[in-house]
Amino acid sequence: MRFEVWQLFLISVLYLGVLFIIATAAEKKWLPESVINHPLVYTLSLGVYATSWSYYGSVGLAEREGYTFLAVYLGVTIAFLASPVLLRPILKLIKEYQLSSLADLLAFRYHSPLAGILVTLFMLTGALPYMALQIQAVTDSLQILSGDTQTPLLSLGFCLTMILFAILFGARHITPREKHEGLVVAIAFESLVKLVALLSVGLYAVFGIFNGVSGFSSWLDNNTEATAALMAPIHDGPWAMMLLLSFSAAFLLPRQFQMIFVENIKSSHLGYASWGFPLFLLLLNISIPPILWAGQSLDLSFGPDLYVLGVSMQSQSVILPIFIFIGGISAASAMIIVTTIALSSMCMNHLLLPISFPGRQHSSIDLYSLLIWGKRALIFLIILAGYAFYLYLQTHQELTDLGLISFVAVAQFLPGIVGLLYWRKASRRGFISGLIAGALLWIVTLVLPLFARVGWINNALFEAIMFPLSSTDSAFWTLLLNSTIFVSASLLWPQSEEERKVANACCSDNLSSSYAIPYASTIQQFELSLAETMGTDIATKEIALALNDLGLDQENLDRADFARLRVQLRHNLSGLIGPVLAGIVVNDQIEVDTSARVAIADTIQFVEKSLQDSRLELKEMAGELDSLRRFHRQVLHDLPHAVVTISLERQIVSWNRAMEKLSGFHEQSVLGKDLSQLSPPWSALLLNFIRGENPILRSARIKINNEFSILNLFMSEVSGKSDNDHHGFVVLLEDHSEISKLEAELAHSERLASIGRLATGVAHEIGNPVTGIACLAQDIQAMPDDKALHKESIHDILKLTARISTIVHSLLSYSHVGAEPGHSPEKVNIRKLVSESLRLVSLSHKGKQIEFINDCSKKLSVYADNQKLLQVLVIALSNACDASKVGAQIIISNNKTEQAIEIKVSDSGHGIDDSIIGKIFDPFFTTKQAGEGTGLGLSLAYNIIKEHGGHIEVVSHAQQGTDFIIHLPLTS
Amino acid sequence: MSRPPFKSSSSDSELTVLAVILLLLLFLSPLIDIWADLGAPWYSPYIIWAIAIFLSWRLQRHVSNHEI
Repeated sequence: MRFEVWQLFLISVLYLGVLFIIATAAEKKWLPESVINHPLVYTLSLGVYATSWSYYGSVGLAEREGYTFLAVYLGVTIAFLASPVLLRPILKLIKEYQLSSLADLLAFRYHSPLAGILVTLFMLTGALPYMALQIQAVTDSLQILSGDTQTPLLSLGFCLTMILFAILFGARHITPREKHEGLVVAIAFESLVKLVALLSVGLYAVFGIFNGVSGFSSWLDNNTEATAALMAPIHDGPWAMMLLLSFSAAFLLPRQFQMIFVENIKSSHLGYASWGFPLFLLLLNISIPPILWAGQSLDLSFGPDLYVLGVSMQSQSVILPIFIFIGGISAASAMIIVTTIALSSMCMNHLLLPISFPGRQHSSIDLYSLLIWGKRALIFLIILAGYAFYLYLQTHQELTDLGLISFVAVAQFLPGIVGLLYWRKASRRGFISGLIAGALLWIVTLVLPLFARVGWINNALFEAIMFPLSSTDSAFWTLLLNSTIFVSASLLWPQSEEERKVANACCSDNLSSSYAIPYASTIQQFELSLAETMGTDIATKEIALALNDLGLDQENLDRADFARLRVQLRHNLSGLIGPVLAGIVVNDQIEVDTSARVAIADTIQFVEKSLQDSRLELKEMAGELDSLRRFHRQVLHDLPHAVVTISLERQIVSWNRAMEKLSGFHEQSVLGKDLSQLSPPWSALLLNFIRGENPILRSARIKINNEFSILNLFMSEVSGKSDNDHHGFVVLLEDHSEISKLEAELAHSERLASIGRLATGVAHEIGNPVTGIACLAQDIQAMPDDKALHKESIHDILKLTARISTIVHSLLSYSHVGAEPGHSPEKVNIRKLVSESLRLVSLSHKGKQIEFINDCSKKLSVYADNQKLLQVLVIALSNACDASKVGAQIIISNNKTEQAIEIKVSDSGHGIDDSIIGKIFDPFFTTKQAGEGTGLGLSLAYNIIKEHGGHIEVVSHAQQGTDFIIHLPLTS
Repeated sequence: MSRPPFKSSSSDSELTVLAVILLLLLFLSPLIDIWADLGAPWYSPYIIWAIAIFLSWRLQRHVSNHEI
């Protein structure tokens, strides 16, 4: 069966066109998201591992090395089984630091641009034999199907097609940080095609060649050496080294790294792939033995590497060979496209950009254009290099041999990966020197012998230095040398401080906390700084992107936000131009103020915001601490009292929910701000309070939203590790407005109640003069002509009305609500106030029976609320009257000490028993019968005096009278 | 205070390492010589491979797979 070359070429182009349509459909979301983001699609995309080597070469390897060919896939199974400790930590680093290749990862870890360059060059070199393998496989399949021997033309045509599709698939986006969803779906489709193709050939081999399962079994029974030939090499073959090589290739090959890590959308898909991908490989390889035996039984003329095609051509159908051919195209094209995309990204970040990155004087160069056209140029050059390598191989090479050369090359990065994940002390010098040693030995043992075999070198010098080994032996010795030098050099030459920080960040779940305050403190300054290197447009775009990523409003940024912005810029630029260059640009252009004292408010804010932003799951102790932090933070936030925490630098560290309600300011609008930046009255209130010496401030009257509020403030210092170490202040604010209002109402009610108790006396006191006025009026009426009587009577009437007025005025005055809360105290003459209170008390029946002696000095005054102090005196005098016998004396005196004024009400009544004296100020405590008192009088008196900054002292013993002493400060 | 609801990573690592050791024992130790010599059917390596995949599937059900 033969096909024309142009037919095969057309089929190839059409097939690749279908792939391109699938990729476009995925990118434009014509395909449902549930399909694009399905873990099965991600898993199948990893099938790019199975290239022409797997598709064609596995049969050849099985023929030579038996089941050793399975080791190429079992190593992958082990690597994916270990994904929680191997692949997932790498994925975390890739996502956290926006890395886009293995070169980025190792350059980041070892803090070395040189490491990035070496990895890139070595990876490029190691990939060339692999690419040549693909071109060879496709060319061979074209030759077999067409019978055409014009291989350079066929292979060139294939390569040019690959260049076009690689650019279409992978170089349409500007930046490597954008995912290629279309590419992932297309590669997943290709994996499916490969799988179905190989399974089809396997089924054809069993049912077509061997005529069914029974025929197949009987062939095996008659050819027992067939199975034995597969099993035997397990004993003697390079089983262990093949496992190791495939283990490292599973995630270190550029195409694998690209698909597993860089193109990963959801990290949970990795869990699915950890068993799904090995299952795919198992299904892919289950047909290999039947195909091998079918080819052997048919005694095909071409090598076992092409039995897959050869067996399919035995069918009478045209479809099967074409399908198999398409499967081969799938295998080769997927590898070339993905590998080229991965390598071009590495070359861009580590070779091209560092050389060509615009300096300050070239700010007009468009970085985005450089990135996209540079990438396209690199894709072109890389595929061309692979073609050149294939072209000049001249003699046919076993596919496996070429593939293993690449496997040994990528295995040289294993020690670096161990250092990345598990060994913090691994240093830059250790990694670079180990890599160079391993690479040189690889060249000497594998590459030079290959060149010698194909006739590229015929030089005694090269022949002297080269040391041909099998791939697996070369793997052993190169890794041994690499690891030994890696460890020794790391131990001999310790890391720098920067290396140590990065090593710690890579080896643990710690968040990167590169918190540093930049000099630039406005967005404009940031833009100007970046524009010097990147151009104004790109600087503006990148800063806008970073602000958007952080959810920040550029009008409302504090110092912690600028620090985070700097970190985010570095992350984003890392995805654009690689971590090394991004670090250089940010560190050089957005400098930090290393002398700035890091205020605890800034640190707390930065850490809290970073923890919130980060999706890192903190583990073990860090996780516990974070949970405790959140718990305590929530406790503070949910307290029913308003709490503000202030740093030593007068910055607001916390502002809880109750404080938000009290002040009307949301936490986010005040955090990190200086106290002086708060709106009045808060700035003055809090600043003055924390500057003062008194940790308690009662009844501070402030205007909030046009209404007056009464606040009590309490302050405490936040101590550090030692007694002398302080971090700031905690201020608790208690809104006393409602309570003050209630107390005022209660006091008023009590005054009214006491006036009620005076009612009988009041009626009597008013009734007597009224009766007197009536009598005098009658006298005037009876003697209309007696002018002397009239004059005397009018005088008496006026005296009596004045007396009534005085009583009414006193009552009215006493019943008033009193001054508003927070009203400034006035100067009150104590003697006059006592006289006033005596006037009121004397209205009562008991009050009339007591002799009051006002022994107060005329000169003593006190600053107080006149109304409230009058109420206190009335309460004290009323109690004294109630305790005294008829005719007893009650003496009111005053005294002045250095700091206070005392007003003493002394009676010689029945006194207060020791058992109850401690309770007399308790609200509702009374020894009187029901209806005779509310039990609130002394409690009110106590609160009133306390408000004035004073206190009440009661000295009393049963049957020995009572001294009720009011102490008031000289300045209330 | 009840323990915060997060999973310990050390148990994930322990399980994974255990599973890897098991697989290495299966594929690298003299066990492999034994089953190669048993005269088992041609598909027996695939059976063992399938067992390894099953082990991987079981492991993934127990380890933490949250979004990074």
